[in-house]
Amino acid sequence: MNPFHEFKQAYNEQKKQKQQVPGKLIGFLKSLGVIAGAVIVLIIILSSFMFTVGEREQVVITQFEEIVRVIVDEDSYEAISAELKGNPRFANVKIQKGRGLFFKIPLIQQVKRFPNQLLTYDTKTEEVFTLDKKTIMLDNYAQWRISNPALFMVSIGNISQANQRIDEFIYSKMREEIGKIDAFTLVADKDYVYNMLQNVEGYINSQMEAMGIRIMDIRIKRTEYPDATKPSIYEQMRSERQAVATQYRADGQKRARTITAEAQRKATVIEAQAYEEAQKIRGEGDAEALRIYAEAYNIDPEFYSFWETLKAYSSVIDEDTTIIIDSGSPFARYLFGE
Amino acid sequence: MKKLGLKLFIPALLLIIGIWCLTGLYTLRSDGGEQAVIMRFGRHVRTEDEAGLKWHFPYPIETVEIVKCDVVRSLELGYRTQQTGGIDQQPVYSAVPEESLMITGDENLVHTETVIQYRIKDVADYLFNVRQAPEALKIAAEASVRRVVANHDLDHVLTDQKDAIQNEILSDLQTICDEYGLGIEIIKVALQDVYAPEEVADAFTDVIKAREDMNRFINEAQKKANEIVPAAEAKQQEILNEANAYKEKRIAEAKGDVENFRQVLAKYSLGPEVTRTRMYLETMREVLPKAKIYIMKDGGETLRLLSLGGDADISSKSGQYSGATVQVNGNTDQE
Repeated sequence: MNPFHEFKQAYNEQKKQKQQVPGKLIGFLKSLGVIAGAVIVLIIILSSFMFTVGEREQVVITQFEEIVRVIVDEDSYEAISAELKGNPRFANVKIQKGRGLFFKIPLIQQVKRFPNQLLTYDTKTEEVFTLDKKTIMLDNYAQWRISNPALFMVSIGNISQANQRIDEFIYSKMREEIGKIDAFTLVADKDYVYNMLQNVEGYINSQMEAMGIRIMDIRIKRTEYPDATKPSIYEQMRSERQAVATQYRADGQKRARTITAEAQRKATVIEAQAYEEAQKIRGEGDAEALRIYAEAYNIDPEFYSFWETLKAYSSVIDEDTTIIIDSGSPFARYLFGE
Repeated sequence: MKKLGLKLFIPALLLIIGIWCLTGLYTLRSDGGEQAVIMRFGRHVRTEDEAGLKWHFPYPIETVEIVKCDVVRSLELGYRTQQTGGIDQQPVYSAVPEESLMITGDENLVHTETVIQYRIKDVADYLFNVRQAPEALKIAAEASVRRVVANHDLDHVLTDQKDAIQNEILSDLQTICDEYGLGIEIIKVALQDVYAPEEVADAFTDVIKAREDMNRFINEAQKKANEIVPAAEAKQQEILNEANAYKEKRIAEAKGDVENFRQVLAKYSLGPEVTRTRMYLETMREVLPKAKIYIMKDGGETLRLLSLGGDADISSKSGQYSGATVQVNGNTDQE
């Protein structure tokens, strides 16, 4: 709709209606329409020679498809300037830094935007072969960024093309590097793999620098054995576990025996010591008894021996005893009454 | 009439400007610690981190992006929470085996389920530096977990080094986040569940049983040892008691005997010869009835045999004794 036309119509109507009250409201709405239209026109005009560069972007400005200007962030400004100045193809390109509002010549200059962020490229899983002839399924990822939008635009064009190029480089270089090492090193040697990946990164950067791409980081996301080899791994795990189980049981028995033997040793020692102590006590008893006896009997040793002899007779002679006595002995004499 | 148009035009303009300005209003909620990044023509000009009603220059001059920064987010690797647990429901998890199955340092396979808790520590870094920051974090986290697990042996992953592994993953992952400028702080890495693949699960269960067996053997031995030693100690006490009893008995007996002796001796010293003979005969009378007695004559040729009735001669040849045995009667008066 043409706001001016409507405005004029409304004006005419107001004139006809001799300035009735609703005319005021209609006039007001028409003013709104006029202003809105003006704003839209203004924005269209402004946007044809102004554009913004956001935090996530870097841009290339082309004029009839020729690169005339790049706008990059402050951190990479120096490096990109040096790169472009050294290249006669880009000798006329103007380099600007920063973000915000920029101007261009309407219609003849176009703005092409490229991400100024770290981009993730996740490769698909590929088979690689190690030095010890093992097959491993390898899944890498790379973090990269567009280090020079002008070079990138000329030699690559867009992100998916870039991913394709990166994949080609990473795959061939990784295969080459992994072919030099054993599977065990690849899987378990953190430091070696870290250095290996640094090498791969350095190599790929030397190749891709001229394409305006910089690999910031390459990592192995997964290393896996192919499904076909899993049964043998499980078999190996199983036998390894069995060995561990056997070890535990044997250990348990060994320790149990040690504990029992130690207890038995203690018991034996305790009993032996008890025996020693008991014998000592008995000895003391015997010695004390003897002392008591000796003390008393020393009073009359002769009588004592007589007394003891009589006691001995009492205890020695029983039904099975046969006594043979000389007839001249005092006892015989007693017996015969002589 | 032209005057009227102008009069209406100015309030209309003011109204539009007013409405336009109102579109710059936004609120930041405390809930989750929202922060706002404000960009003027695409350039980051300021960050708001206090909750409340805020205003920015309206579009297209300024734009705002709001992110919950303080809320702790978690990233699940190897499993997904399907339903959170609560007072009236059990949590439901589903396994993601292709994510959780990984190689250990000793070339075994293990399922590792990990949760990574993180927070946004720099909202501008988080928004600007990395495209699809959460996905980038997930890839880096998966790589770190696998990398660290591959650096440890299966037994350690399963049992005693979980803490060390968690810390190693945390520090590795934080380093990567900082390198990428993700603006993320890793709060915690926890190995939720680590288990052997089901193909070998029985062998692993047997190891657990074997360990229990080991402990059982040890406990049984300990129990036995706890019986053996006290038994020996009891026996020790018994032996010592016996010995002490013996000692006391011996001494008491000696004292008794001596007392007896002393009394007899006292009597004896009153009349030694008589007492002596009497004692001798008393003993004989007591003793002899039990025994068989031969009496030999001098020269050993004849034997006088003591008998109940009286004397008897028994011939004997060349030292050979023969004859009847006569029981000495206890009643025989020999005095």
